[in-house]
Amino acid sequence: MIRFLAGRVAQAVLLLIVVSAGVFALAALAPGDYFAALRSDPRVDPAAIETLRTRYGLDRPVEVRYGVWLAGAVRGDFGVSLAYNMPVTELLAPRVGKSLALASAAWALGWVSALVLALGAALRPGGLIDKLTSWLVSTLLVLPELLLASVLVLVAARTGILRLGGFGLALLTLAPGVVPVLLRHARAALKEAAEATFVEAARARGIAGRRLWVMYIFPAAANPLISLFGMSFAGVLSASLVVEAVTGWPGIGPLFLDSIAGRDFYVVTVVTLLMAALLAAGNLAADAMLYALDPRLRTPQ
Amino acid sequence: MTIMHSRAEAGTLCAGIVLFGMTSLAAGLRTPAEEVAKYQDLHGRAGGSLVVYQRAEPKTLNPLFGFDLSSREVIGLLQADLVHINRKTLEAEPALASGWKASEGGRVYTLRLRRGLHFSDGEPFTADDVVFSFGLYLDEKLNAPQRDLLVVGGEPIRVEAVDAGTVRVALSRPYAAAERLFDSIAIVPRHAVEKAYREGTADRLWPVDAKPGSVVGMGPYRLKAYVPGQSIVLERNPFYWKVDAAGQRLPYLDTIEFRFAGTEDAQLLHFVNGDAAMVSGLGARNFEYLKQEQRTRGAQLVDAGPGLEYNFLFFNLQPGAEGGDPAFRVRQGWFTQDAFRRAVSAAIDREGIVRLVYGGRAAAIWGPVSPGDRRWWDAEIPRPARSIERARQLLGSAGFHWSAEHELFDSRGNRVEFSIVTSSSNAERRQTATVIQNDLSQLGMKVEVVPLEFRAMLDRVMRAHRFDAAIFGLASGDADPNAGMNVWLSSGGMHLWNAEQTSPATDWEAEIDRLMEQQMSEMDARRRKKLFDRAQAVLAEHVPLICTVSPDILAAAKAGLENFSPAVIPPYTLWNAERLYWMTGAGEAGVSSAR
Repeated sequence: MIRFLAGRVAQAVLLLIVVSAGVFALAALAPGDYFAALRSDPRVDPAAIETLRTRYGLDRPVEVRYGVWLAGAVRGDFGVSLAYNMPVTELLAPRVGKSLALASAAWALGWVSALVLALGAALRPGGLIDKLTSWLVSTLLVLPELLLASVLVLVAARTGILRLGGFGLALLTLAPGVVPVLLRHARAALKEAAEATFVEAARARGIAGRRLWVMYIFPAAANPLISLFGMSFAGVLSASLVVEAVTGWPGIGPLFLDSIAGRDFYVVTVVTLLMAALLAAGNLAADAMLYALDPRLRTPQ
Repeated sequence: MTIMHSRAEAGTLCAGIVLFGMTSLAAGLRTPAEEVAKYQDLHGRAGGSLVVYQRAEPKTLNPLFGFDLSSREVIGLLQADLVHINRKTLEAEPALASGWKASEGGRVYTLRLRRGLHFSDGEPFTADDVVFSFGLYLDEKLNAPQRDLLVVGGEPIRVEAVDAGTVRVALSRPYAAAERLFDSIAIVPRHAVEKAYREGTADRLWPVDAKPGSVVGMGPYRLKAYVPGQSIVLERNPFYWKVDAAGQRLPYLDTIEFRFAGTEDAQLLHFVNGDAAMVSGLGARNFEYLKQEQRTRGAQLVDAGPGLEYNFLFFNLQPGAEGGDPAFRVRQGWFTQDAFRRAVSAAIDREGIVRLVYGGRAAAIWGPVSPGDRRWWDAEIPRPARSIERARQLLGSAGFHWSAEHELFDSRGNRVEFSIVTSSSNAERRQTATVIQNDLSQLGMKVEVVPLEFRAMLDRVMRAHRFDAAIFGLASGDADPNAGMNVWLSSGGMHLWNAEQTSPATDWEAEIDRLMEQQMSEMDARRRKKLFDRAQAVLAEHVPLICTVSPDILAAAKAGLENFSPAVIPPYTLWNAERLYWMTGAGEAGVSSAR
């Protein structure tokens, strides 16, 4: 088990290094930098802007900047926001909690909704719930989150039912995006497990009802869903960045988008890294759960 | 507006209470009476709060390094300057300095400071704080962006204390209207800042999440609370140094809360929804929408007229630009001809841009001074109507000719085609580029519009000089020609069409250099105006910047908010925050009256 997890952790660390290097390279390729905006103020001499660039190391080659940043990151210093002139970790800390709260709630709501609907559909294949879920999946898949967010913001502004910038508005915008993929996978997994030969055998032995579902079908359907478990959270968190910006929820989303536009690249790097870390952590948790639940993974080949 | 100075407040408050009076007398021996500024015309009502949605979150509360609009808006309420430009009249007015005097032909300014004032933490304000503050702004190591403003004739100004209530500012050369230099240069408390400065951390002072008591200033408000990504709440500064006609200490509003909306549309929604008490920086379409939407709700909708922003098209005249690419050299050959630029100017339908792009809420301009800048606007600058015929004559006289398909060619047979870059995030400039593209197609020119992300565009135009033509807008924080020296001097880094010349490339640029240098040192206001008028005339004649429009400043506030009077330079609506108050019964919380 430890060896298995250690291998996964090593992969995750490698992923984070590759992601951070990629973000730095992209930031270097993007024209303009944070101080470029000062160039539109006629009272500021361009020489002063160059001095500021030098002071913050923006005139140094990207590989040097990356090396310095990486050395600091190992010690827990993830750089300073050029815009806010404060450590990136201090800037992000209060916002990360808000984003995690929103993403967790949307993720949980999405999973519960998807599982309940998938179970309803699997219990009566071809029935009303099955048909409705099929329609719901198609509708939600083609509905862009941005459009849904814009419509809900307008409804909130017009009716006052939901508060602009409030948690409810952000949650209702984000959660529907989580449902269709989970629902489709859960429905397929439950259907496949319900039709498996060992379930047929169990039925033949007279096992039915709740016992059949709990003891046979759910454990068999769990495997693909657990794989989806970790990945889906990182997906929700990524989607929440845009939803937060549109609905006004004060998580890392508005800051992240602002930082991209403003070339505040340490913030962009750390947020991207955070997303990658959460994705890796989710996958790691899923792997650990699969390892614990699926005896085939524990059997030496 | 009348500002008077009163010293009587402390004494009247304790009249009749003998013991307290004696204590006050004793205290008065130690510190001078408070020399407040009194608004004789102001009769407001204290209390209530105001909620404002900003487009972006402020980045810092440090006046030395807050250069984004949102930060400056908040810092402007926390801090005060020696002399302040009244955003409405555009005149310099006494602030922490109760008066000033120029001497030695404009080389020395002596400023008398108000006595007995205190910072928001109760500590006294003295000349020592002023000298210390200018020391910070001028410190080369600290390199605050405002440092350039305080470098006159290549040398930093020198500030020294004459006594506890007087400072002397020496300049290396005569400088007209030098008092305007002090606008927005916040006087910071030495006792609160010096430690960080000595430790080399002054640039990290007062981040946006600073503890409320640690941010000290002399503005009408002080920091009360900050919720990351959500809001900044300011509360009344009990030591503020302005009073109304009845001696009531300003500001009137108990709190001002800034929340962050992200976009103009979101700002508008919050205003329509009743969450925000005022909204500014509106585009023409949103303003028209608000006019319809608020028809029955009584909100105050104000079109303050053209602001100081001037939008323009300009060509790349930088020698060696585009790495000396031969095809670009051919195009630059056209751009450098006065006749070509005049023809383009003649073909542009400025009134059409005003109508189509700005819904009539802008002014067509033919020079860089907006009609909103009443002090420096020159009515004599020619404003010819659009004329394709005149444009064709100019091109024809310069050797250009047309094919049978009405395509324009130069004298060597090169088809006239070029690109215009502009900011993709500015809808009005994108639309303006399209109108110009259409206008120039009527001259047979083939123009491609290239919208670029804002910073990418600035980098391409101002650092790399890789462009044919660009549409820009510039706006200075001050309505004075000296604020634009960087743009007009041929050696200036913002001499956009051909920056940082070692010697003027053309005779007319040499003339502009001379006129701008002269006006900078001319102490007689009328003679100075004439010099700048002549500089404007030269610019209009040679059109290095083909000016198009100055957009109006559009803003709105809820009914009942008194003294709401949007200005033409930032901060557009909160420039007189200390005078704002709610009428009895109107939106006390700033959120209840619009719906």
